[in-house]
Amino acid sequence: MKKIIFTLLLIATTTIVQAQEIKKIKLATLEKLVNPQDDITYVVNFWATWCRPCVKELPYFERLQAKYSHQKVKVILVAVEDSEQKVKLFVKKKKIKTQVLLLDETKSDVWIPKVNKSWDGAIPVTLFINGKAGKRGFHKGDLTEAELNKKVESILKQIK
Amino acid sequence: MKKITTLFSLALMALLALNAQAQESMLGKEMKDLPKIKDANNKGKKTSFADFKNAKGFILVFTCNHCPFSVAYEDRLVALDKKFKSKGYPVIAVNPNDPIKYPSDGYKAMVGRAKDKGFTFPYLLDPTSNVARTYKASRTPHVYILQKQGQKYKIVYVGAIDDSARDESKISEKYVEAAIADLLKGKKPSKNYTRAIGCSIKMRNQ
Repeated sequence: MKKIIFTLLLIATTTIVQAQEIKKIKLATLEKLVNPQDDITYVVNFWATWCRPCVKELPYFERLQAKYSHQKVKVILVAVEDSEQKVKLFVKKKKIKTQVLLLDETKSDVWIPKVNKSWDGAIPVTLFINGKAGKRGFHKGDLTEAELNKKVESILKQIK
Repeated sequence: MKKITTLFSLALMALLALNAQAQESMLGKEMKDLPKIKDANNKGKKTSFADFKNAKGFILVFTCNHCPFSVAYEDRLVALDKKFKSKGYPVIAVNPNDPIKYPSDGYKAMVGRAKDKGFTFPYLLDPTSNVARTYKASRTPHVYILQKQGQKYKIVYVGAIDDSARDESKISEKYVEAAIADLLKGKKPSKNYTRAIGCSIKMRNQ
């Protein structure tokens, strides 16, 4: 009986919880996003639904955002994908709560260096930024959950 | 302790920055021939640059089976090879991915893909991922155009094939074609470094 109630509850909650609306952004917004001036620590990850290592680390970002929900930490997942539909379906299916933005730019040779001069376009990559404290980190490739948490903790410790 | 941590993170950042500029810093480097490695498109025959006696250079592309961006470019690679092999710049594809991490990048699967897509060029298996390490390749697809200079091969272009990976109808710049056109005119490629989204290469453990 307990099981049935649990399942029913689960179904109910999943239907009630609406999938987040995914905003499309252009280069100008992206530039602001990766150059924040405030005292929030931003973790900006670039990913795509077709990128297996990216998909693997998404739950780490989800848990990171949940863990720091009461602190000034903001995780943003920027999808670099040309199919808006794929991103929408994926976010809905995986019930991703962390903010997802869809980059609506095609000229990768123009926008990639705006994120980080040293980046050549391989994904995933993750930025760690605290604009006010002048902290900036850029990680190429995937992260383990421990590595990700450590990077954020290290910034938070430094700005204390 | 704090000092040590700071020093350590500084050192790490410097190291990252170095690594960061890696691909662009490969421009102008003179490379030796590839080691003789297995060609999945020719019954495993061991192949290197030296097998192409009349080549003036190469369109060396790190690519693989599993990555959707690589897959999107398969037909375009065949077209590039057909267009430029006769002009002295054949395509040579190298798959550096660790098949333990991506089973679809194993040798048998490479043989299958080369056959299915009608590759007109070698599809070489980088058995240690050291070819990719030597070139500091980071993603698939990742193109290096080489110009033959005696026994050496000079890197004259690093980057993407064109500016629209997933949608051929939206291409506005064909980087590799433009670079080869410049080379054929005896000029340096006017654009020799471009960036594009791609799949991170999963190197084999050393």
